Amino acid sequence: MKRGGPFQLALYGKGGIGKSTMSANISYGLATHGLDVVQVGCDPKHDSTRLLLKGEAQDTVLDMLRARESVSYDDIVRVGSGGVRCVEAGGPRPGIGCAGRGVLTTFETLDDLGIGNDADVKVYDVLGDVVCGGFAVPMRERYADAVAIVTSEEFMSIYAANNIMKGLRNFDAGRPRLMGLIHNSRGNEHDDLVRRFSEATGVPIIATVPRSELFRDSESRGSTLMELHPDSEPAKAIGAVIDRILSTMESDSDMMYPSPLDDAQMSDLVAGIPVRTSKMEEKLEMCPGCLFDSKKVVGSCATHGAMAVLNRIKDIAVVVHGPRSCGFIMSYAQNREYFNGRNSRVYRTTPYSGNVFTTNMDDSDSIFGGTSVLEAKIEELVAAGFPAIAVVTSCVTGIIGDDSREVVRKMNAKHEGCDIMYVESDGSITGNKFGGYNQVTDALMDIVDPDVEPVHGMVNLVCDTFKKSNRPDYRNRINDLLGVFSLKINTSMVDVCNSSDVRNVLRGMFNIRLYDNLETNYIVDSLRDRYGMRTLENIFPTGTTETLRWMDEVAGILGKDDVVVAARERMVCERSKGIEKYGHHFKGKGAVVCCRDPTNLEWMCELMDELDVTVLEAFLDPSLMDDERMHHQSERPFTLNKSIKVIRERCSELEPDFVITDYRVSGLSVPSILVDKSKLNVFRYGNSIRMMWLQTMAPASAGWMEAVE
Amino acid sequence: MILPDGFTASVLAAESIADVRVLLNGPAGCRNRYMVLVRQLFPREKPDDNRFQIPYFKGQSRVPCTYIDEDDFINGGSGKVTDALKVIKSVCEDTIVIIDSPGSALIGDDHGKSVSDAGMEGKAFALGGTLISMGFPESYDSTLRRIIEAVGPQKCDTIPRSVNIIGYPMTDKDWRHGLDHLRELLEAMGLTMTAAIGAGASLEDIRSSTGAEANIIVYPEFAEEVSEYMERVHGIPSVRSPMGAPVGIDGTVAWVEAVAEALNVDPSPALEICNRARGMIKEAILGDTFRSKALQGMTFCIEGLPSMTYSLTVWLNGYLGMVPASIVNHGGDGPCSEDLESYLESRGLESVIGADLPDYCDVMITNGHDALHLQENRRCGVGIDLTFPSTREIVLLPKPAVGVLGSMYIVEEILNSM
Repeated sequence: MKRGGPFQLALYGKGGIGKSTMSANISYGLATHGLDVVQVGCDPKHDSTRLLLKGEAQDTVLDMLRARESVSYDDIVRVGSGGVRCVEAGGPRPGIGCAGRGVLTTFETLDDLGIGNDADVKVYDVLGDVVCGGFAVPMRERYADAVAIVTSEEFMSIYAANNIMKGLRNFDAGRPRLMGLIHNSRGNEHDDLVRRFSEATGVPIIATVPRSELFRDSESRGSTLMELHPDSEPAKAIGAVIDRILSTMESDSDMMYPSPLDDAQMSDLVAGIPVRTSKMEEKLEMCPGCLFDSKKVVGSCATHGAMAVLNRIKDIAVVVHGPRSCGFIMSYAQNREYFNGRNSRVYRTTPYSGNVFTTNMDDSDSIFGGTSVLEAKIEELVAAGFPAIAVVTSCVTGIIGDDSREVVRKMNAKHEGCDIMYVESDGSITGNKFGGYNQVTDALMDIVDPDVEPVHGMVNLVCDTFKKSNRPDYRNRINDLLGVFSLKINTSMVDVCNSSDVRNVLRGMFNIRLYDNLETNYIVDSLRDRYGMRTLENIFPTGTTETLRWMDEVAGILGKDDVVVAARERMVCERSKGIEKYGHHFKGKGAVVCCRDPTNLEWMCELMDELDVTVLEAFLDPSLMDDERMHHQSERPFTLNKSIKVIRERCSELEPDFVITDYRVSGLSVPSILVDKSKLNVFRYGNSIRMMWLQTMAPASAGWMEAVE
Repeated sequence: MILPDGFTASVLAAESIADVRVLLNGPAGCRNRYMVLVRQLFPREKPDDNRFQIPYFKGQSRVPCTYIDEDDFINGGSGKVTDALKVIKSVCEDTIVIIDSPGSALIGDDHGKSVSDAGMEGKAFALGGTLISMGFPESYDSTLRRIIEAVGPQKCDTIPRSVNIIGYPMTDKDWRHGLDHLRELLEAMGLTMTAAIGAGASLEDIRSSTGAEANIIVYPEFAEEVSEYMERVHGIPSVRSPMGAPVGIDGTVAWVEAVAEALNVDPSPALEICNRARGMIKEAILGDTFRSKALQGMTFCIEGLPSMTYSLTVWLNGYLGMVPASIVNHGGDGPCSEDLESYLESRGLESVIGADLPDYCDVMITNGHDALHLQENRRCGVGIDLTFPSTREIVLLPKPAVGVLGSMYIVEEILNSM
């Protein structure tokens, strides 16, 4: 077989089956044939090359990468018996970090340094099973010209061998690469499981290496059996493997595609009965069915959601436990909202991300685990005097399975004066940004002071983001309505505030929801379940009917019915004056109503009634509707519709004077009025409808549009 | 603010090439923010281009994404990568660079096989590597080198007096005006620019770039691998200014002179542009008695790459008479660090290197976000937005960081803050 680089052989097999011993013996044997051999150990326990190095352990690639900024050839290559060049990948301690990523990094380093490119043969000794993509790297076409599987006659070893074949099939390189089985006997050579497995899969046994005390003798002397006992029976068997490798190097005609057994066939094999014919060819196991599914696409990850909420609590240090880029892109997004909001109509609800930090996880932390960098970061922030710290995990920590919770528990015990919260968002693994909001709610419930008593006249506002509700016009509505009952805001949960505001949330007599959505409801439900706190049934109102209903509910709690009577009179007066002044712009016209938020439908239609506008058709986009909010649907007739195209077509047919909508509907041939709950203030009715009318006066086309055309 | 690492740099570097598109193998959370970022830095298609109303794009043309989810983290996402490549191929001709998000890099999917399965050999390739362990400039540079290497341009016949710009990232403040300005300086010396690698050059430009007589480095930290590769493989020498980057008038003059000397051209016309700016600055200072007196001894702090902090410090201190209070180098051992140290040592100011920010300084030169934030919090008289990320997303009037335009922008900010 003609090749440009070295012949590359990957030896796989179940852990503890003797792969490393076999690899070292094969490498030494190949070297005695005058070949230049490189052996790469890909097992975190890094003992693959020990027998070639007189029993000594060598520095691993990953250890060197961890200790130094860059590594050189001499740092990671040692020359062993027979001139075999030895490399050990290394890896994290068991149960920590990501060993698969370690294999990936090792191979990238070997590529960068060109190690073994000038050799005749490279032997990869790979950890037991193909547990993840990292451990499958040596199977990739560019690394493995041939794969041999070491197995004993024990079932688990056979099972692993079958899995390795499945993994190899996933890396179909367009040519056969499976060389065969190397039967490393455990002393029960008469057990025919390996032979039957070989027959069932069609994969030949290259050699059966008998169990022998000579292996133990060689290992105790830190050498290979091939070196110390070259004429022994086991050495002859290994010699057969070497002969096969040498012949494969010349011609790969004996190589084959793997045909692993399915579960039923494996059962037959173990039961000792004839292995049935596979009924169904198993497909590739890289989840090809998991293609793009728009339903599973989340707009923003849970870590970002959690970070965005926590960043509003000004004295909390937020630690994004992940890579620096993760922290960067999230703080960049926060700052962008902050800076853009400075001069826009939106109030600053997004603070500067000055208290957002990251543990700066790098590749080394991904491999060896990031708990130590997290611990160091928490110590640093405690020393900086933060009264509270929130740790938010990322995809990377989620995948490698860092036990960050334990670090937080330990740090909490150590630093009593500082509340250290744990938000296990794990990037996109646990869901979208809304999931992140809820995870923060769970964490914040732990710092609420249960001993705080309600204070008369104080209420809490509750909302998931406070973005829209912090606009000046929305704030005016809040102030106007709370002013009716002389109520003051205790805590806005969770708007820009201090951690003390969250701790003292129980000072509020009750909660007022600004919107009806799952995240807002999760906050009030949590306060109810944990602390028995009351929340108004009606959300903060828009329009006449809702406002009256809301005021009645508050009056019922506070016993202030007289206040409602006066407010109702004021509302009626303001509405009359407003309609008298601006109502003629609307009177007698026809409108199409489009809503995405079902809680807007009622007040928008009611407003049209009050202005003597005929609603020609009302559309409700069901994409935002969930069971929780279905009860807010108006009794007014509406058409469920998600398509802007349908709205355009209906507008052409119905010829309304304008469209009133709570989302941007592009390409309409008629004027549109874009509204949200902030746009209608029943106590400033005239101003509200005047601003809506002005929207209908926008020119249909602008000069710049023509210039673009 | 938290500054980006090599992963961000890699995405931006690949997207800086006009006909290269990044396929982000990662979750939507990563994609959305990078999509916004690259769209701001280097707009291409119209936002409402209907071609992209398809899977993996979701209506947005930039940084298509595999949208990997929890299942993919467990089962692998190769199928999505293959499928995404086929979908991208159906709507555009661009070369695709597959970049793993930090999380998906742990899965270990074989992108080489996905490329092959999608029939995209030669039109798509993956950037592996330990991106999150790399610094921003290092990774930007390395990504470009790897893309050039993958494209494998043939050596063109050398065109006398043609040069490439290298080491100029599209993250530099107002980079498009900055590039125009650098081109103006080069053209004033009779040089033509073939390609600005990493700042809008297409793959065709990069192929043509092998015919350039020299590579002119803007920020050396962003040009180590590309300059080494171009010299080793195509025999194109690089020109580096002894003062680092062409930031500040002195740095710009040094850059012009270094280019002129290496290319053996007359620097006078370009120096005339510098002198005119110097004259305008002098006039502005002298025209206001209060300002001209107050400028002397004003304190400044800078955070940035050594090639920028060095040239700026020399100019602000030596020409404008200001005093450094803190100089923080990002990448402490950059090419100009030693020069900066020597300069400050000669003035008894070596202690300002790496010093903490004072409670208050007159001028803070740093990334746009921190500059504005520090100014708002009265930690400085004026915060000058000079490095990435900038807060100025819409730029109509030229205010780049580099050249005489950058120098005038800096002086304007300082004088108007007094």
